[in-house]
Amino acid sequence: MIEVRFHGRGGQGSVVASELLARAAFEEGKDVQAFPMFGVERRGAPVTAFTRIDEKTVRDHSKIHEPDIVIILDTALLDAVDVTEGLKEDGDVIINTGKDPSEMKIDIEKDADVYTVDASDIAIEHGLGSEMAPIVNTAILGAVCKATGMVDIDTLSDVILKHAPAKNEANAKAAEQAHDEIKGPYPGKKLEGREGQLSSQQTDIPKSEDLLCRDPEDHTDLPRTPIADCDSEYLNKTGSWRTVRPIVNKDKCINCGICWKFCPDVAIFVEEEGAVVDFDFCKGCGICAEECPVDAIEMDKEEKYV
Amino acid sequence: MSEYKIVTGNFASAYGARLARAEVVSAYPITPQTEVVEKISEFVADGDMDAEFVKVESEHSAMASCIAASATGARAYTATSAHGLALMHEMLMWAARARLPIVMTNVNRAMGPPWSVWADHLDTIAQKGSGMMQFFCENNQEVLDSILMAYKISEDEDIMLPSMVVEDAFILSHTREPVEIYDQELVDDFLPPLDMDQKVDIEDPKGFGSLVMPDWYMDFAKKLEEAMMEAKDKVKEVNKEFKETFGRDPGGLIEEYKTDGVDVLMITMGSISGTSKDVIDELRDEGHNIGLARLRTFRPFPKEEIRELTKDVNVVGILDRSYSFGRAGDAAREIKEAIYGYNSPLVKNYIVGLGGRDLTPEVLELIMEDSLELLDEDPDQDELDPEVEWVDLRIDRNKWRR
Ligand code: SF4
Ligand code: SF4
Repeated sequence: MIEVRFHGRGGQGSVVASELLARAAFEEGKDVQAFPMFGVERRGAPVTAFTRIDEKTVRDHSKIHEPDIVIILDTALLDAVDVTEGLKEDGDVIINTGKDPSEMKIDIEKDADVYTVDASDIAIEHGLGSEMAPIVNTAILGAVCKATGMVDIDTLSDVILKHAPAKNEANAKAAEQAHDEIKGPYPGKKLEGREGQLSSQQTDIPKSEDLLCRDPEDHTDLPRTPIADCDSEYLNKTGSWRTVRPIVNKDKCINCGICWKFCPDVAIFVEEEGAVVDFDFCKGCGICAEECPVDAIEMDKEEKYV
Repeated sequence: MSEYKIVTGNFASAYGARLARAEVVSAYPITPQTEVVEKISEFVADGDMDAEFVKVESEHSAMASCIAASATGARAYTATSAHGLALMHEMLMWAARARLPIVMTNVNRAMGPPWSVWADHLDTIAQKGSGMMQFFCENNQEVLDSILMAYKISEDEDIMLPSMVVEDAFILSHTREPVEIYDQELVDDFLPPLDMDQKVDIEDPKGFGSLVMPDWYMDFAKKLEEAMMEAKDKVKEVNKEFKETFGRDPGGLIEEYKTDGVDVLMITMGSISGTSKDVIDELRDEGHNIGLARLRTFRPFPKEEIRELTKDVNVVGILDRSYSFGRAGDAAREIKEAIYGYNSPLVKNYIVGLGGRDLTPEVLELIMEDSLELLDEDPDQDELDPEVEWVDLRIDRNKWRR
């Protein structure tokens, strides 16, 4: 059995990638499974997806904890997520980046292999997604075919032509190009500690343990039912879900407080100079703009502000 | 022509309702069931499914409108999950007592708080006395297959009871697997249109489900139970016919996996069964005499089959993905009750995977090893009924890791 884990961001197509890979392996007579991380993720947030492939019937319905292959669609995640967690000692890591595999600081065993491919560049070249947000899933799958030999590139191309949600030909071409341009393998190395890798992880956010137990080491110390000292959303910065953001026109705002009353995330407040948005938590739902009686709020594309 | 699609359990449910030619679909969205009704509304909008799609304001109304539709002789379908099923409770009771052959999917999910959207069987098990039949599925193919079979069983004139097809939240509902979508003609032969002898008809007005005095109510209840008992044979019969038609054996009332002459028998329900079978294979390769039975039908409960299966077994390990507070896991409780006075193996109950806690092959193997160790115990009276074991609690995690 081969177990694959994809790391991407919502909108990059990690879940579709896990499905296309499954579909391709199925066409080659394997049994397959594809599933997203069972969370409550939204667009923009880190997304994890999985594929299982086996010669035999796949009966295992547990999660994948020790993948053979890790595929990283967005290098920004290298800082935010422990992407190589549980990777098998002789596993493969395939990263979407313009860099050479030797330049990658990935903490893995020496028997593991690192590959890189500039899937973003290839996707842009083929008109997949935008310059700011290329859709890299098909390109990276082409590279995966080459690196792992899991499925044949021709099978993958066929599957993309038949089953990709849009721009099928461009997607198939991108996969083929990535198949030819992948760099590696480069042997893995153990890094000293993990700090470097996870530096920018938000350390100010309490862990569920700290919130639920007075003594995080002692799980007997649970309250009767979960009671958090802060908003439960504090654990979950919903600002990362946003694809559009509310812009308040302070000249129009009459400080009525209706936006505050309706905001499902308590992410907009009325101050003297008008309504103010907390972008750590505003998820971009647009309810405030809808409810404002004087149309003082307009929703604007998030990518203009990042 | 039949074709394979790689779909989630939710889509398998939607395709099941479509292949069964459900005529009225009424549902309210809830995580993790939402995609079932989204997909069906798409089928209806695209003209791929000739059904009336009724939008309602709650799960209670969803089942109420299915009841109304079914009473007129239409094939009705709905789907829900957890709190939605609990809100439907009154109407489930009504559907069963009105003897209406409605089929629904329940994507089982934990009841909150703590708030959770993940797999747990309590929502379904809590409805065990409702009069609905309950079919627990191991994989997505079985979800689709069970919907087709459930209609056939429910609509049999000797049965006329509603059915619940149960898929585990996320583990099946959001996991894609290859599923054979059968040829429509083949399904039409297997499942002819619903033809009810008594139905609401404006040309011939009658009252339905009306008041009865205490000297009658009980006799209707007994009639319902007789239909349930009859359904056991019907499940087996329909399973056989299904196998002949589609070449697949979903497992009838209880699926037996390598149970011949075993010393230790594990009993599971739902999606953990597949993972468990892999572990059984490993343990058998190591020389352990262990097998597995998968309880597919929780209502009606296959007590005769359980008796037969446990006849020469020394230890029975039962995995419950739910807990009946104040007592034990329900599968374990009912299995013990079924074998009372017939066989006396040592029976141990493991509570597993509540609120979606993952059941890895490692944890399942440790559970089975625990059952195998019980083989060496001297079976005096105390040890026949060991304490219920809550598996993989945070407090004793080390016990459940190698
Ligand atoms: S868009 Fe408006 S209503 Fe929605 S989360 Fe942001 S501030 Fe709140
Ligand atoms: S609803 Fe509109 S007018 Fe009222 S406080 Fe909010 S932004 Fe200002």
